Amino acid sequence: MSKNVTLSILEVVGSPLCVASDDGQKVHDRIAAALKEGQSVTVSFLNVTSLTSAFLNAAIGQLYSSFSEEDIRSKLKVTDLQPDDRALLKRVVDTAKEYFKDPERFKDAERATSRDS
Amino acid sequence: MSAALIKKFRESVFEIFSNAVLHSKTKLGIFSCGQYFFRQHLLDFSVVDLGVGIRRNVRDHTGLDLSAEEAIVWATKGRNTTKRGPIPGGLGLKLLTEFIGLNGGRLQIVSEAGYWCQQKDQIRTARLPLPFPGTAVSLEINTADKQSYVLSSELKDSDIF
Repeated sequence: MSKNVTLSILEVVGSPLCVASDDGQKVHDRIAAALKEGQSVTVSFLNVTSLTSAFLNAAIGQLYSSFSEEDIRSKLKVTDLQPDDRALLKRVVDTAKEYFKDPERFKDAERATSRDS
Repeated sequence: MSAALIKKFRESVFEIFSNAVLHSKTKLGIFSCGQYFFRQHLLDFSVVDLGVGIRRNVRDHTGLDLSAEEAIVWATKGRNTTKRGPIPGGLGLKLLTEFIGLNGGRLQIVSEAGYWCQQKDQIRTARLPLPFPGTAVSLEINTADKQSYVLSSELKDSDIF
């Protein structure tokens, strides 16, 4: 049985303002590390007061460059989202799925990922 | 201002700043200013960079050779993005236009010789006689707006992925 970890966005970012792409990258790196180890991840947005698409693209949307939709659907959960933030995240996820359907962009993503690893 | 509007306004300003940071390649900084016109219930906020401009960004990253104002139109459409690589994009300006349409405010974008303006849900573009050396985004919101900005349809956490 895979281990389940809970990640607090507030704790990773250090602020209730989750708006910068660089902060989203920190969140992504924590989620990705756990998923690579086969763990299930629950991401808590408790006490987050501001979110932007730039942050969510880096934190969550970027996961679709390295993990399949099926993996993300089965291993990633979110919790403690306000209703409008939930709608924003849904749009970010849908946009990310479309983004990575473009083979050229996907190649760029793979190249960038292998450069960084 | 209602709590919902303050949240939407703050997030809109952060989206505009994020765009300037991620796309402008400015070496001269990003500038901002604003003013609250309390009798008219209007709040104005501008973010300006002295970067490469939208037209050049679109041309360099997509190959599309658009006029300055056509490039701004392109950039405001959802899913259009100059981003390449592992972090997706294409939502920021689209979200702003949707918010302004609902709020009844105004969004103006000037980039190089391109002028784009959305007033409520009407859009106007023009070519400026002299280009601006960068991009300026100006937001004007109606502070008397009492909408909740929450979708009427029920979306669950399990629906997201």
